[in-house]
Amino acid sequence: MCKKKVNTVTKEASSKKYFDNLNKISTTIYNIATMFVMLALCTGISIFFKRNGSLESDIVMVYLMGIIVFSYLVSSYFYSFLAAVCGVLFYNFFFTEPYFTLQVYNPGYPVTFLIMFIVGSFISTLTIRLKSQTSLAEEREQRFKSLYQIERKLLGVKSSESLAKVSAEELAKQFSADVLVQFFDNSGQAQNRYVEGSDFFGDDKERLACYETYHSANCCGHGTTLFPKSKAYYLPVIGQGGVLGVIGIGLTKSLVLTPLQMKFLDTIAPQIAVVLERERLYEKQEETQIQVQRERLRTDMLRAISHDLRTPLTSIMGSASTIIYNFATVSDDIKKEFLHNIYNDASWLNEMVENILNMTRIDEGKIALNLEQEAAEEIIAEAISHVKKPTNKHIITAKMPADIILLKVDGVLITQVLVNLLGNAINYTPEGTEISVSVNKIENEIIFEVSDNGPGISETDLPHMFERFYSQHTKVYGTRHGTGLGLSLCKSIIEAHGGKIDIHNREPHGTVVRFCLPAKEDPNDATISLSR
Amino acid sequence: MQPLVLVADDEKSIRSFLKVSLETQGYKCIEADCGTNTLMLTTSCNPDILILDLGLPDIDGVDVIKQLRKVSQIPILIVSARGHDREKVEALDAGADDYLTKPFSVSELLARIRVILRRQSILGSSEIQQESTFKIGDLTVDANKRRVWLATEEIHLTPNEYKVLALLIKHQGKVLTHKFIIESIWGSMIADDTQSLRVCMGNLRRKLKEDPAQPRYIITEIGVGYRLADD
Repeated sequence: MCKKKVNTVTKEASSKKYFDNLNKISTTIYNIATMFVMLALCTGISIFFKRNGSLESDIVMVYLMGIIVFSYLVSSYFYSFLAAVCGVLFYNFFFTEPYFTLQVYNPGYPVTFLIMFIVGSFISTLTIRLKSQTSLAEEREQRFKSLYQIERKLLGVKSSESLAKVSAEELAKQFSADVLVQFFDNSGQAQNRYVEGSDFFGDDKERLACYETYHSANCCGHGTTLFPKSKAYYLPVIGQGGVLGVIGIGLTKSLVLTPLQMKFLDTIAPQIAVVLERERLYEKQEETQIQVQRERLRTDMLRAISHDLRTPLTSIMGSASTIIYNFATVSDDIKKEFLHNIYNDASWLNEMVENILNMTRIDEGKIALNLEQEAAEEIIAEAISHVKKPTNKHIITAKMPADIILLKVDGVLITQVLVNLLGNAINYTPEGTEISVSVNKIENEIIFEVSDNGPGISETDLPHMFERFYSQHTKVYGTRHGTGLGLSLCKSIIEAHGGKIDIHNREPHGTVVRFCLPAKEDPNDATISLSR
Repeated sequence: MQPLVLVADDEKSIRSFLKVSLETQGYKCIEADCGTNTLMLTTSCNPDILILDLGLPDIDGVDVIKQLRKVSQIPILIVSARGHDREKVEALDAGADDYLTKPFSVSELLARIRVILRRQSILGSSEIQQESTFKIGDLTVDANKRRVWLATEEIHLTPNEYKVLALLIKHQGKVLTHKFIIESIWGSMIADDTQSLRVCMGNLRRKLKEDPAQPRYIITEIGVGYRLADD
C-alpha cells in the first residue's frame, strides 16, 4: 500500500501509523454503515409484515436474522453486540406502542427486549465463531496440503544441492516472494546456496543478517529486533547438530509475515534440516566407503608389490651368497655373470620403486602436480635418453613437428609415462624392432604416440592393459618381467593432467599407445613457429 | 699428482664403494659422514672435488654449499635421491657444479668427475690463453666475431640464441638452472621468461640440427635446466 520509498525511519513509521489509523476509521465507518443498512432493511421488511397483519414475534425474528447476517458479514464481537443493542432499540422505536419513541406501555416488553438482546448476541457470537473456525480449518487444510507436497518433494531430493534448490522453489511458491536457502558445512563454510527470484541477498547488509542468523540461531532481519532494516526475514534451519543453514524470505512485496506464515516456516524448517542431515550422512557414508575401498586397494597393492619385490631380491641374495661362500671355488666368469644378474635385478627394483613412488603420489587423492611450462621435445628426449642403453638393439626414433610445442605439465611425471611406455615397447618386442615416438598438436590437444612394429598384443589382453597388476601373458623378450604397475600409473598420471590414454594394435603388426593432453587455452601462445 | 676427492655421505656402504671405485681410477679419497666433518675436511685438506649427498644428518646440504662457497671455490658434485628436484635446483643455484640422482652408475659418476676436473684445469689456464674459438663435434663458435658454423655451413642465430649458446659453452658440462640462464640472458626472472627460454632453446636446437631422440649438443635436464654436452 505504501509504494513510495520513504527515506527516514521515523517518516516511514509515522506514515505507516497514519495509514493504519485511516484504515481503522474507514473500517469502523463501513461496519456502522452496514449495520444501519441492515437494520433499515429489517425495519422495512417488518413494516411490510405488520401491514399484512403478521404477528409481533415475526418482527422480532426478522431483527434477529438481520443481526446474525450482519455478524456473519463483519465477524466482530463488538459490532454484533452493538447490532443487538441497536436492533432492540429499532424494534422499540418502530414497533412498540407508543410508536417512534423509546418508551413502552406494556410492562411485558422489557423482558422481550432483554431476551431479544441475549438471543441476538448469543447467536451472533456463535455465528462468528463458526465462521472463523471454518476459515481456520480451510486454511489449515490448505497448509497441510502444501506442507505435504513440499515434504514429498523434499524426500525425493538426491543431494544437498538439489535440496537447497527444491526448498527455495517451494517456499518461493508458497510465499510468492524471493527466497534464499543457504546451507553451511560443519566448519561453518557456506556450502549450497540457492536463490529463487531476484538475488538481493548478496548485499553486505543481507549477508550480515544471514550470518548473524547462522551464528546466533535466532531469527533475524525484517520484523525482528536484529537487523530490522534488512529486506528479508531470516530464520535458521536447526538440526540435531546445531544450525545447518538459513532460510531468507524477501519481504519487498508483503510487509511482515503473518503468524500463520511464521508457523508454516517453523514447520518446514525442521523438515529441511532432517532431509539435509540425511543427505549429509549419506554423503559421509559414501566417502567412508571410498576410503575403505582405497585402503583395500592399497593393501592389495602392497601385497602384490611385496610379492614382485621378492623375486628379484631372491635372485640378488642367492647370487651374492653364492659368490660369498664359494668365492675361491667359483670361476671368474661365473662370478661376473652373477654380479651382472645382481646389477640387473637391482636396476629393475629401482625402476619399480620409481613407479611405486609416483603411484603413491597420485593415489593419495590430492595429486600435487608440479606444473611447469615444458617443451614436448625436451620431455621426449629425456625419456629416450633414460631408456637408451648401449646394449640395446632396438631402433628408437623421434618425430617432432617444426613448431615447438609447449605444454603446462608436470615434466617429471610425463617423462615417467614415456619411460614406462618405451620400457614396455623394449621389453615386449624382439631386438631390432623399430620404436617411434611422436608428438603433434591437433586443435586443442597435444597428442603423444609411442608405437612399435613388434608382435602386438593379444585381443584378450588388450582391454585389461590399464588395470593395475594386470601383467600380460605375452612373451617377454627383455630381461624384465612386468609388474602390472606401469600402464596403470601412466593412466593415473595422464588423467590427473586432464588427458586420455589408449592402446591399440596396428596393422600389419605392432602396438601403438597414444595419449592426449589438453593444450593451453590460448593457441597462439602454445606454439611459436620457427620463423619468428 | 693424484686428485683428492672428498666423499660426504652418511651411508657407510655408499662411501666404501665410492672409495674403492675412485681409488681404482687413480684418485685419492677421503670420507666425511656429516656436514660438520665435510666443512672441516674441506678447509683442512683442500680437496680437488667434493661429492656431496644432500641428505646429511646434521646440516642441510644446501646450507653446506652456501657455507663452503663463502670461503672456497671447490667444485661440488651433488648426489641426491630422486623426487627432490627443488632441492637439486636450490643446490645448483647455491653454487654446486653438477648433480647425480641416486641410484647412479659408477661410470656416470666417474665421467662427471672427469668433466668437472678438466673444466677446473681449463679455467685455471684460460685467463692466460683467451681461447677465442670453441669446437665441439661439428659445431664451431668464434667468440670474437660472434659467428657460428655447423661443419662448413654458417648458421645465423638471434642475439639471444647466441647469448644462450655462449653461456652454455662458457660452462660446458655444467648444469645451468633455468633461473641462472634467464637471469644471465634476460636480466630478471619473470614468469613468462620460462616460455621464452623454452622457445629459444627449441629454435637453437633446430638450427643446430639436433636429433630429437638423441641431442648431440644441448642436453635437457627435466625440471632443472640445460647443459652443453661434453666431448
